Amino acid sequence: MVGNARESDDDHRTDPDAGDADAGFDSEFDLGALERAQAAVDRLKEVYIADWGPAALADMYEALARIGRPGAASESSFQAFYRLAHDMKGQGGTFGYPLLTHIGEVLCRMTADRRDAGETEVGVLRAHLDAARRIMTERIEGDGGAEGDRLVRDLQTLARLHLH
Amino acid sequence: MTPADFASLCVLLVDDNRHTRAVVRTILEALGVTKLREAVDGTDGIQKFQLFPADIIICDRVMEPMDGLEFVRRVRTGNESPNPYVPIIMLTAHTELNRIVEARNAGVHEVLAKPISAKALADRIMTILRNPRPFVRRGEYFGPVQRRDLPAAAAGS
Repeated sequence: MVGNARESDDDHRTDPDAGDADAGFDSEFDLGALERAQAAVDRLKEVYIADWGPAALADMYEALARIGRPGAASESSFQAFYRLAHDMKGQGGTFGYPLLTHIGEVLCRMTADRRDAGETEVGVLRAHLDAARRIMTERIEGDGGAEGDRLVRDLQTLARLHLH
Repeated sequence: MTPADFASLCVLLVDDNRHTRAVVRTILEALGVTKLREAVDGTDGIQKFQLFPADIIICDRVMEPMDGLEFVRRVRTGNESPNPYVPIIMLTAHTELNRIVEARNAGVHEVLAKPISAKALADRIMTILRNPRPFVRRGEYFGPVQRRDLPAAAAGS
């Protein structure tokens, strides 16, 4: 077993399997392995932007439709949307699309612990999904330059006008 | 550290999102990990852990029906846990301080904020392997001593 606990003054239990965690490990990290690992993640980027991302976005549109249906919004609808937004927040940047992470973060904030939403709020949520779709379709990587700035600014303006 | 070193590790990956599991699995395999098991949520994670002697657990925070915090608590204090001392890295897109504190208070060793990079994940694993921390029980908490409670030299190492 590797990397286990050792005895502590405060400890009431100690791991009987605890050993020398450094045993057998080289002092220098294998940078080649690290580069190969990151390259392997980068190869998944195309799968994400062509398949995983759009599929998740379609699920978000469906969840939003349930939220927006009069009298049909429920805590579970919001939770489903929130979880998808949370995934977008985590995965966008992983694959080189930090604008998707930004949108996911905003959507998480807007839907955390919610049970209902008015028509205006649903419209703002939809505008964010539309922006995410555009990022995926046009493959707007990184910060998106001037186009990315404009996109984020437009969403911020929309939220400011309608939600405050 | 080399791929051969990582090859000796048994890693349990607990995440309900198959795409995130694919990313983490891709990184681990490229780093040399060969003994890897996946679980699709906290409940599955507990069951897999009973059958697989993981040296490290990597788990997500937001999962259903059992979330990551509950999973960590069950590993640390549950009767069904085969090894309450196992190092745990929690993946999370929630980087607010209070969320990090919640994860620490549940008993995780390391928190890895998403987006995930190969370097960040490798760094967390190496930190755990090279700086094993003693465990402590204080009130309802059972888990690794938190860095703020370690002597300065040890905390900074």
